[in-house]
Amino acid sequence: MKPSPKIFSSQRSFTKSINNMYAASSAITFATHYINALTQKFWQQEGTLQSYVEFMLCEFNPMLSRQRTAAEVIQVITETHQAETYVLRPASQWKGFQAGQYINIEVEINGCRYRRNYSVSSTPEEFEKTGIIRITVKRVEEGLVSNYLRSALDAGDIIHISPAGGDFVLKDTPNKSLFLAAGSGITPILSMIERLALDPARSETTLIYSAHNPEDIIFSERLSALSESIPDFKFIPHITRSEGHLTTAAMKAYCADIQDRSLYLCGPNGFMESMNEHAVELGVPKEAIKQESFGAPSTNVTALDLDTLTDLNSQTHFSKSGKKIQSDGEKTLLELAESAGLKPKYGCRNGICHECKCTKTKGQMLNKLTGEFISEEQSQVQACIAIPLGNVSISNL
Amino acid sequence: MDMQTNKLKLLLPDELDEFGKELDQLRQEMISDLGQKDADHIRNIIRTQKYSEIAGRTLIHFSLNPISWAAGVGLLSVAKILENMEIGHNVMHGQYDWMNDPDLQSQTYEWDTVCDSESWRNTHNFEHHTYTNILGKDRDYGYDVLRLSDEDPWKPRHLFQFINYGILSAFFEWGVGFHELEISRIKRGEITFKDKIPFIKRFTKKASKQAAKDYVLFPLLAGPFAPKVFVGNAIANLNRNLWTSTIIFCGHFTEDAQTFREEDCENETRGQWYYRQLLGSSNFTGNKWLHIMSGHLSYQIEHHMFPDIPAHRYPEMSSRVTKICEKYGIPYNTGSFGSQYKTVLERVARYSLPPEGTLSRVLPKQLAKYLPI
Ligand code: FES
Repeated sequence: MKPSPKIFSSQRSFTKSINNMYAASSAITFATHYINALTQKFWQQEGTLQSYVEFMLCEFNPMLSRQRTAAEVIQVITETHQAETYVLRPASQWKGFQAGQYINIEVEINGCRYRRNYSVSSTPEEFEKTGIIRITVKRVEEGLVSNYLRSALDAGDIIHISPAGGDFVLKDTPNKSLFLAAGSGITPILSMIERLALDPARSETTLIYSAHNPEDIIFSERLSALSESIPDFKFIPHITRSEGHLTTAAMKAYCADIQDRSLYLCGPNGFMESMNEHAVELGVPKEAIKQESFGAPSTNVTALDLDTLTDLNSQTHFSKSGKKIQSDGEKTLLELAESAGLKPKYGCRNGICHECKCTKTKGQMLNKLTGEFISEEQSQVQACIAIPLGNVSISNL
Repeated sequence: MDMQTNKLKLLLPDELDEFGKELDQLRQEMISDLGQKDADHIRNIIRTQKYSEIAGRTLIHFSLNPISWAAGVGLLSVAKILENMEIGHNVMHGQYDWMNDPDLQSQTYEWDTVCDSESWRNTHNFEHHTYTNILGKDRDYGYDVLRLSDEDPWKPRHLFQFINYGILSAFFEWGVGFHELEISRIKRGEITFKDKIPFIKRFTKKASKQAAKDYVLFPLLAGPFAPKVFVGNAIANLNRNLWTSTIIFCGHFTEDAQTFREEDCENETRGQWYYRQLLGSSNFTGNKWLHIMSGHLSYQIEHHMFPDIPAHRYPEMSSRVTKICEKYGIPYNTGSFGSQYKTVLERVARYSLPPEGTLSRVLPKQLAKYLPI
């Protein structure tokens, strides 16, 4: 049956208006794309105009900053006697993360900015739904930033964060997995396990979490709840005070088919080293191991340690040129760089002009002019008066 | 130790060592006290500067009468002075490097003048602060334009140096910007023009950017009112130039500021270095805003002794430095802004003439060079 002309025409006008709408909306999408690209380009440059726009935006609301990414503290949750979770709402330009990744957070303490990496302990799904992420921080004794966070941060405060980074993420292929965590190494792993819990295609998952005391276990309730609700997830807390360090035998007993699993390791350096050794001994292929090291907490050295630091085998490493040179505890960084064949910039060679500023990424030094100690924290150093103590890395030479 | 070119009380080597140690200790105390207070200070100044620049430019653009226009020019001048003195100059000395704020890092900061920051760090932070008032080495001494001491042989052109001084002050940012060119060394044949090509490239880039901003972009934004914006910006730059040059001249060219000879400063100890910085500099007194507007260069003595300590700390350091000077019987050169500036003008005037009583001898000889007699 032929459609009556009237119906036909109304149908045509309908399609036409749909087409119009489509054209309009595609024009709008095109325009937004174009504007987005332009704004992005604008913010990629650094200039006077950008600095003024940034200034006005931040005066209005610090969350609007474009040159840095702000994050608002929504809530602070006590996890254990030494760990807290900070619930954060990143500003809209923050791009999200994958389970297991970390962010670099920046706080200002007594006028000075400090930066630290912390793993995100929540899931990307939660972020997509609610726009919040969680980081969980285990306080380090004498740790400047971790203790500051606890004493100074409250709901409503603003900190700054970096894009997420790190390749400690879940493998694409669903395989049986074993997670090995110690201390705050549980934070990225919780995110990964929660992520797996949402995935119907997951296979058997086991977590061995090593802690000194039962009360040191972070997320203990959450982990027990997960293991009850998900039949193929096994949570094994391992308490070193009563059970001793994790041995090869214990690992085999906890997880008989360890050699067939993907391993995810996260914890302090010592833990990581022995876990790697055990795993290899138990026949786990190297490619099956993914890991994230938290390194040793950096502490400040006192004058007493100075002697041990001026060890003759200390190396100064210039990471830009890839050059290395032995330091003797007497030559300044500027002299060392020159003897390594580099051409660093300098002026007075006497600590006055700051022309010789270098960026230190690792290590401690001594200011030869004042005898003042240059800590691990301080990244800008005057090469002409700074003497490396122990191993030092310089990034700009 | 006879290092200054004019006579003055001399310190024994031991005394100098002690003197240096006391100052080092003061420095150490300040450094360990740096913190929130200093961060808040510089950020407050930056806010004030940004707001006055925004308000100033807005007023210049949208002024309906000469009064609001003049207010705009005033605000813009204040913003430029704050940016150059209390912010730029001090940040580039590394006074706020410890804050770890990428916007306040000495080696990357770029300031609001035609002078390229990199060039400034080299000529000012290094040359001037290391060789302060050493004749022949500190090219800031008279800027190769003025004769300010007897060591510099008199020439007839010095008779008119007041005019040069006026021109230098009015175009101070350009003078400072061109400083690295070292024209007099090129003239003497010590270096060639070619050696300076990288500098000229950097300078041209920075200067054209600055000029484009103040003399093209902002005037064009005002459309038909472009001329009043152009003139307003030019006057703000002029005000800034006159002010900064006056402050800087009060720092090293007052009557009692000493000069030194190169040989006497070789292998200087820390104490000797402090002593030279003290003798070569002069302070002036005033209220809080005069100090801020001068970037605390009103505490030139403290600035030269402690160039990388946040300048707003100089007032508190100054009372300690004065006491230390009293203890060693060393003069501490200070006075009111007016009286110090007066001695600067007197110095410019005095050295426009040849050494006393020699005019009748020197002038004909000098003139003979020019006239084919
Ligand atoms: S070269 Fe001048 S401070 Fe190092």
